[in-house]
Amino acid sequence: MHSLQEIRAAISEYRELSLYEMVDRLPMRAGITLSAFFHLFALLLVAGAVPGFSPSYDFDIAPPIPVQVVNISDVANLPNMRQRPKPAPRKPAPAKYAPPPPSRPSRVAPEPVPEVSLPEPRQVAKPQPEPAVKQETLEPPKQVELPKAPDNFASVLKTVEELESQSKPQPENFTSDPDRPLSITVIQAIQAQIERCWAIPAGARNAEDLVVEISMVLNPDGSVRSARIVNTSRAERDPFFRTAAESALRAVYNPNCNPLPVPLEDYEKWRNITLRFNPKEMLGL
Amino acid sequence: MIKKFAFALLALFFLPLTLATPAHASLKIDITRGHAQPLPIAIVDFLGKNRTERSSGQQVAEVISNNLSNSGLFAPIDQESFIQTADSLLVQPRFGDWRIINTQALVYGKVEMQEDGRLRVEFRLWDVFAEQQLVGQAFYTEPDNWRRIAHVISDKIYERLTGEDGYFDSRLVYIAESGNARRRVKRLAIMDQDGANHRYLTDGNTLVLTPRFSPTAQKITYMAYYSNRPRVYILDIDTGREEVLGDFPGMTFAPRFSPDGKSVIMSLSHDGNADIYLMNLETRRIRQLTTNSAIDTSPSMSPDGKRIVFSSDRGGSPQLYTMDVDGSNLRRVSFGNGRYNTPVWSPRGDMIAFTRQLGGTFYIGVMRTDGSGERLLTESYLDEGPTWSPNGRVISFFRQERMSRYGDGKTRLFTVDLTGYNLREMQTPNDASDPAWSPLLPIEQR
Repeated sequence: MHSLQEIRAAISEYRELSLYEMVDRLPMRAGITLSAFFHLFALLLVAGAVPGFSPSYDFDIAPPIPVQVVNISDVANLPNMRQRPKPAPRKPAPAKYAPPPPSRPSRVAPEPVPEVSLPEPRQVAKPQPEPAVKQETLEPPKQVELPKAPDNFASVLKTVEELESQSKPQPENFTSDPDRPLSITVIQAIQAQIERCWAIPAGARNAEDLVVEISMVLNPDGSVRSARIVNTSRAERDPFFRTAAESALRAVYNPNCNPLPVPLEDYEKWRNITLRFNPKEMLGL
Repeated sequence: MIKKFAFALLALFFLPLTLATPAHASLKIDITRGHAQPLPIAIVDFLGKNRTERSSGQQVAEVISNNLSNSGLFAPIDQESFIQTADSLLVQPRFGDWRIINTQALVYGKVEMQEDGRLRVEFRLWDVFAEQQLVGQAFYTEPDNWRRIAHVISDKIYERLTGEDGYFDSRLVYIAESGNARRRVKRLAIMDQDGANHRYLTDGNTLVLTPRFSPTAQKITYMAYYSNRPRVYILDIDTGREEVLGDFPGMTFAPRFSPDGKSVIMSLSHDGNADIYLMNLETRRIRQLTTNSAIDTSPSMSPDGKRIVFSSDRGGSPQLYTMDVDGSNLRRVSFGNGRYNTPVWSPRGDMIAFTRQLGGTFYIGVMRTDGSGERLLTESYLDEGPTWSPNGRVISFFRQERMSRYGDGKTRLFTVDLTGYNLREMQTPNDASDPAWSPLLPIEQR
């Protein structure tokens, strides 16, 4: 048994010794044992039998994870996009009785209207006006409240039955083409703004086919200079498509959604924008 | 050396072009979400030169506003908020004034008494954002007929803004019920689509059932029990002429016109087995379309006259089936639990409306004609008897409340939009059931 002091002295002495000195100080037999131990360890290491040191080769090779490179702007917050200081007031706030914004000239002069004449009112069979029935007392039909759909944005079609949840592939909302450096944040902000003003043609026949493209040219302040329906020939043919297209145009021209939240310094990048209005997701079809 | 210099010059020349290309390419953005809010529309009281004209102008605007608002697709704007006056509108609309109050469409017009005593009503519909006139038309009629003009104008506005035909210039017939449960009086009644011009067509001495409109004319078919004998009748609403379609052995159910109005399709029952029959109204010849030991009933034809949808319990419980008009090419289209009844093919051709009973609840639903995309639109203790508006956009049906101990459960007519929203009760003087919607009333072009 050594005393505590002896051990302490031994430790403090050993601290100043190098490894070689330590080995030198060991008795001869201990040196051989140590050497044998290290050699065995080295052999086992090479054989791969030491658990922590062995490189194992029998794991599954994970499939390469696809990486999509997209440019994210510094500001990823949608509201911030619209709150950033504007270089100049884009549009004077319309005072209630201020003169109206200059209208686009022409087109507004009322044209003569085609005349249509209704046939004489014909007698309804057995006109026995019942004294009990007074037409004047008929009030406009009153609205009956129905429980609201849980999520108005889930679908614009209502059903009283729970629909089985089905996962649908999200449509490609953006393009990762490196030639178009406008960031997703900006694109999403434009999407969010237009979507607020777009009335979906819900209930129209084959409404899911009414995909409308609107090509627009923007002013440097982000407001719409001009917008036109890309597929004009279908708009002339198909009244459903025409009204869907006009509804998309109204969304683009709506003063509540104008000007668009775009970075003013990158005018060239967003001067020409084509919007594709696709109601399919909202119709849940 | 010169070669190199030329190359550099060429490169210098093309460099700006290559840099500019991506910037000029149009940026494409998908808009996949939106809202289904009604379109804000301003309807200005129609102008007139004197008090009478102004008063009918105001009434016309009111009916239009009421129609468009009831459709659920338009939100008429409060006249109090208008900035531009009606008089100055006739010169030219100031679109800025209308944009400020969030108007997207603008309607105004004027009423004039002609020297020949007729009423002339003119209207214009403008797209406020595009600053463009969408429709402008004038109509003539007898002064008493002003409501029809208001309905026709409503239809023109609806057509131009939705792309679909209108449905406001139409009527409904239905069974007006009165008296207590034991001595129920059932009369045939007719009214405008908005509840105005309500009239009774029968006196209530005989029991009448299942009125159905012809899709082409102002005629209805219905069943009546004269001296306890059920027969199918056809009534011309304009002339008041009534005829018996035929005396059929056994019971006759659910007669309905074909889309061309030239034949009637119905189910006849012999010895407890009902089958579907088609009768040509000119030759009065009858053809049997189904031969099945099950009960086949409630037939309804597609608007192209090629297919028939009906309800049959051949699979155990009543389900919906479609077949060609000659009875071939049979397909089952409904597969849900419960019972499917009273199918009606939409005049637009793309949907079938039906009643579905599941447990103790009734639903009015729609599905595509191949049975896909089934959606249940309404739900109650008893919803039954769907009928389509002439444009296939709105469904009318009747809803019966659960009878209380005193037997005073109300029965009322309702309408609901194809999307499932905008459920509304129609005002009728008393209990009402089994509605049938007319086609659009005729207009003479001049």
